[in-house]
Amino acid sequence: MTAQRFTKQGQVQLSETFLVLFIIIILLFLGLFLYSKFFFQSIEGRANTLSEQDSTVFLSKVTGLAELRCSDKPCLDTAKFLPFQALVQQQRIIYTSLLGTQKISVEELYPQHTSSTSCTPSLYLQPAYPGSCSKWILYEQKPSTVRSTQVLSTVVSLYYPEQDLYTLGRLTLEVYR
Amino acid sequence: MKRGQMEMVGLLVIVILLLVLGVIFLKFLVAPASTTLADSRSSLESTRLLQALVLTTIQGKSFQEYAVACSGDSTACTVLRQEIGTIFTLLLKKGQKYSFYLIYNDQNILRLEQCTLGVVSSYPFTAIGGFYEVQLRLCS
Repeated sequence: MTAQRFTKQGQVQLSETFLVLFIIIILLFLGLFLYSKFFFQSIEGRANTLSEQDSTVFLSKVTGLAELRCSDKPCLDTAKFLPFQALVQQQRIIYTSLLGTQKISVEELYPQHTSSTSCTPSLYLQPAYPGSCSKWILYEQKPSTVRSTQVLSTVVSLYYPEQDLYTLGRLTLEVYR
Repeated sequence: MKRGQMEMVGLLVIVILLLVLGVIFLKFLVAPASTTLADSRSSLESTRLLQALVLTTIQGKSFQEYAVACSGDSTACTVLRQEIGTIFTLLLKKGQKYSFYLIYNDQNILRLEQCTLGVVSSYPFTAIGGFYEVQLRLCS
């Protein structure tokens, strides 16, 4: 009778121990899960910050490209835009290694335009130029699959040497990842 | 150790574990987002804007010509004030508050003030022998 009572008590104690161990293991796993979740989130955040820093530096690099910038002032020479487009087509391998997978475009914002037509060599030759168009896609190279796109832009001064005129525009960088 | 005491210790261990988990969770939850990069970008952006603005041709005249005229006669600032308002509306984010100052010989000759707190950028330039400075404050 006494031996049977002790066996039952032992079984209850064993169940209690297992229950406590089970709860502790669940809590530990929960802790590990939360920690790893936040850890990966912080890594992702750091990666985004670094890539934004990288793109910001690259944006400055683009405004300083000899193929695009004015010779003596901090501006972009619009007369160089169409030749640059042609140059990129001719020497795609060189520019792809230099600029990577992204889209570089410029849009004139001041004076305001009623439509945002892309500038082409035929529009450039029209007497209405520069009023006839306001957008240039200077470079575009898309990867086979685009996971995400990071967009960065900066205000630039646009120079029209034909009219000796400075306007304001926005240089946009769309980095494909 | 008696059975009751052992159970108390077990309970204490679970409570401590829960507390540690809670602290880790709170630490990650309330960690403030870094604003350094955003502030640097904002400052860089406004400096570039000012640099570009000083070169801009406004209604056939350069910004610098307007600045010179404005320093001599305040009525000449009207067109410049109007056009700068338009430029900032077009170039800045929608709803972005700003304050713009054109300074000549330490005197504010043109002021467009919408806010008082924010990152300030300035760009000095010379025009017809005088020292000028444009300042832009972007407020959050």
